[in-house]
Amino acid sequence: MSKLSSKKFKWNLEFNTKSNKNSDYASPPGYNLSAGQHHSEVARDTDQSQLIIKKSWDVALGPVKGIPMNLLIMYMAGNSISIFPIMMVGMSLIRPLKAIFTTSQTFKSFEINQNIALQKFIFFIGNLINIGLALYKCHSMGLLPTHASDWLAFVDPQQRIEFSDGGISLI
Amino acid sequence: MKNSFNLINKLASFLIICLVFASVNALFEDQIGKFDWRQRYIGKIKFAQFDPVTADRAFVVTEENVLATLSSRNGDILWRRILETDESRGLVRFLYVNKDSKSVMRRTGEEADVFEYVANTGQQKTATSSKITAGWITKDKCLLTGNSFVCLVKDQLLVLDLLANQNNVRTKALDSPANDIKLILGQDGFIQVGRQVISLSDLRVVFENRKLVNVFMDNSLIQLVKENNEIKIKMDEQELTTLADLPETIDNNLNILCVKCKPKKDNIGQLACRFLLSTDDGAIVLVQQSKIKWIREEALTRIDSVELLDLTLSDAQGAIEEELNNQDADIWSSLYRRLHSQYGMVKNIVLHVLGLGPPPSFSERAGLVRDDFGLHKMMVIVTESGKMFGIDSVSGKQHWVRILPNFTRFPNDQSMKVLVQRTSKYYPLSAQCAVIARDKETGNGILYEFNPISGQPINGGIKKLGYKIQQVSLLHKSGENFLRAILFIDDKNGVHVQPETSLAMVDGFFFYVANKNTGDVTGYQIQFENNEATSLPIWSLNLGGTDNEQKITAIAAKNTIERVHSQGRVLADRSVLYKYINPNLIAITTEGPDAVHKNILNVYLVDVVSGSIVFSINHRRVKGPVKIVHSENWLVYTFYNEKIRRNEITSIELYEGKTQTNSTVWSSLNSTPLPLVERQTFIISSSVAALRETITEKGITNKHVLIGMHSGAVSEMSWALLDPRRHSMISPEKQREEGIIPYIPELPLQHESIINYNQTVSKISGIYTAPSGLESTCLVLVYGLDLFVTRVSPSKTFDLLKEDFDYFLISTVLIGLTSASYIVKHLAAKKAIKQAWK
Repeated sequence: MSKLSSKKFKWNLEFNTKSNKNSDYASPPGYNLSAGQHHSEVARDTDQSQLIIKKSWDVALGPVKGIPMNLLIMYMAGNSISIFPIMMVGMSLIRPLKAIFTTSQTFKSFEINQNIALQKFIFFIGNLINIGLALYKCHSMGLLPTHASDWLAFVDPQQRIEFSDGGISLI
Repeated sequence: MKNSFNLINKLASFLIICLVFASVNALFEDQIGKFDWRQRYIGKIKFAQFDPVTADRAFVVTEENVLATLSSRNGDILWRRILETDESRGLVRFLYVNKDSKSVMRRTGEEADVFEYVANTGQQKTATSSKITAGWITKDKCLLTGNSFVCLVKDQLLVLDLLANQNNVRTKALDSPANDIKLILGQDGFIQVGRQVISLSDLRVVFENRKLVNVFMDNSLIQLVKENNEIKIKMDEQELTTLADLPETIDNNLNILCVKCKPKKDNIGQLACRFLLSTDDGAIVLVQQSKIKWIREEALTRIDSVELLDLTLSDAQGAIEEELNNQDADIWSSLYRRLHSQYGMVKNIVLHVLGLGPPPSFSERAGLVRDDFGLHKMMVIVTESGKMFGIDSVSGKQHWVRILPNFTRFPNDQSMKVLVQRTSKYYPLSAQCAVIARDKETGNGILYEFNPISGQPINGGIKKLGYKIQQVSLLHKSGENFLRAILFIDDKNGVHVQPETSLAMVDGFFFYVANKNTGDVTGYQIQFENNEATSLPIWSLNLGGTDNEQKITAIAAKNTIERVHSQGRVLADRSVLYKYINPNLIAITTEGPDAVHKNILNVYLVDVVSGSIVFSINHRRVKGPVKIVHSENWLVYTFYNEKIRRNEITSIELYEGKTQTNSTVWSSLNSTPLPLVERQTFIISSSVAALRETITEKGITNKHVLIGMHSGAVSEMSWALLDPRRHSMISPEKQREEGIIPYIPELPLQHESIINYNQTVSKISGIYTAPSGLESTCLVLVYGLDLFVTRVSPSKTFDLLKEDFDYFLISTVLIGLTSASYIVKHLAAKKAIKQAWK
């Protein structure tokens, strides 16, 4: 707020003249205006890299955090094969796959003199779990060839060993 | 509550049935006659008579008990009435045409029923018949001629005038005792008793000592005399007609059926005659002025066995085939061959265009060249009279006809066998078939090898075997020149192979012989040692019951060319129920009387290699005739239930279970566990004359069961309706998931599923099915009194574009869109340049 007001625009008309007057009031007792600013300034001063790590962990844990939501959606979508569940399953398969392939790009901005292999690994595992969920969904929808019946068309007929013929006597 | 539940159930089943029938493929009106044809026949003639007024038509009665009128001009059937063939009542014993040719009479049965028909239409004149009953009327010693009904009673001749007011019976004592009484054709009022010809008007003996009188006209005898190669028809001593060269396709044993003569206009004293002749093989010949006007091949009403064969390749296709056959050559020689054959093709095309090409081969001239889809086939038909036909499956034309002298059926009501030794697949080699029959004279086996496409004999044609045939079979392996040898088992269980070079191949072959009357079934194995093949009995069964009262009525084995694509059936839980596909399994039915249940029908499923009974079922108070179909892992048969007085159809399915004991090989000698059996019986509203399953090349297409009914219709029954898993043991949800229709006892016979629509096939005696080149399509031949050929596609024509596919529209749209996109591209480029200049 203070930043915004400090900028002087070319066409800036301030109709709310009262707002500025607020600062004229005395602070309530025990309120120290500089206390919060001071603290943040201390944190920024201590470590810039701390923030990057935190941010990178946020990204790494993103897929894992999405699991409960995914589960809920999958449960709600049901096992019937129609266009929406198929689209949903397709998306939930493709998204983590894409994410796995673009892992290094995702973490590029955090990679400035940091070792974030663990975060990458966690990100990868999270996506794998998501893929697994999607596959499980496919399975429960009957889209995976996991039953013997799915391979029935490729079963060769049995070769016969003995040959026989005959019939009613012709005498 | 329960009622409403029932209602829902019924509604659901109705919906499912509707769904099933929505998929039944009926014929459209414009498809009539497009790929089916029917030929109508009447049978071998018993009596015939020309129209007394015009002689333009002949009234005939045949051995199939058909009353018909044939046009004298071309032999067409003008009308035909098919009468019931009931020995005791229905058989026509006499035909009489009134002088004014307005009505036709027939006499049937023992007590002389006389029926009258309108000559022009064949309609029966009166609903009832006039009946003559008397104690002295016996079956074979009575005749109707003109208005007189004549009977031979001991040494007396009784003559009864039918038109007289009171039963005016006249008698004549015979000089010499006689046993038979015969009609004399051509003129009313004369009969032959023993060796005498008697005129009925005054009961006077006209001729003495006549051995056989054919036809009698104007008080003179007409006789057929064979002189050298000529056949002469004489009236007394005057020669009426001479037939010089009889075609090879008819037996030269001719009989005169009827004659009609009129004086020649220019030459007074001479007669111009028209003869209707019949031959022993059933052909009807009309002769006029020493020329054969037409021939009807009535042998085709009694077909014994049928085989459908692919036609040969055309020369061009054959050349390609030949080129592909040589795979063992090195790269340069194959390149040379390729260039050489293509040079030959180009040369052929040029010569063909210039009209200098080589003359077309026999098969090409006759149009007997294989088509793209293998729908054009040659039907090899062997008839009971020993006459053989090669008929085109597309046009119905008889390409060749051959008489096999002395060929007759086997005893025990077993048909002659047609075996395909080599199909048309092996290009430079032609197809080869063999007919195996019994010699009429000696009773020994007789064999005829021939080319099924041209009908020409191979290896000299007819071979007389020096032994009686007990069993005959085609070997499973092909020997020299891809020729499959024929195995004969003689009456002393000796083993013979034709050709003999393939003798070693019989080693290990199993065969069985069933005795119809005793119910004994014996299994043998053939052993080949020291250049000698012997048969060794390995098992024997007796299905005759106590006192051998059960007789074997039918044996059903699987079609040897059948292939099963799907090895199992998918259940609702997506597991597989594997089919029990035992190639050595046969079904045997026995029928016999029973003290308690009147008639009993037993069905046994027997493995003929091990001799084990896999399954048996017993129907009480059930009567045949049993019609049976055995295919893949199922069996369907029909019978008549005497208890409830209805026709029933039973289907049985065999399953190995959820696992296969051996997924790669099948051996009957390994102790495979007994199969799971599903069975169900349905009611069928029509009596069944013939049953057959459809067959396709790879077995991917569904199987339907073709039901030939006594009404002359052939219905295509989907397997889904005959499915024995249609029972109440499976929950409705599971049934729905598996696509099973809930059980309803009655099988619907829908009009849409009748494959011969209004082309009734009278007196159906059999149905033959053969695969075509298209996986979806199966060729069907229905035979009986008539022949009917059509195609069926049980799973619809999934591999074929529809006939009304709009090639024009599709190609126009494609070409239009492509050219439009090019034009637009060009315009867009122009516009872009213009924009750039602005």
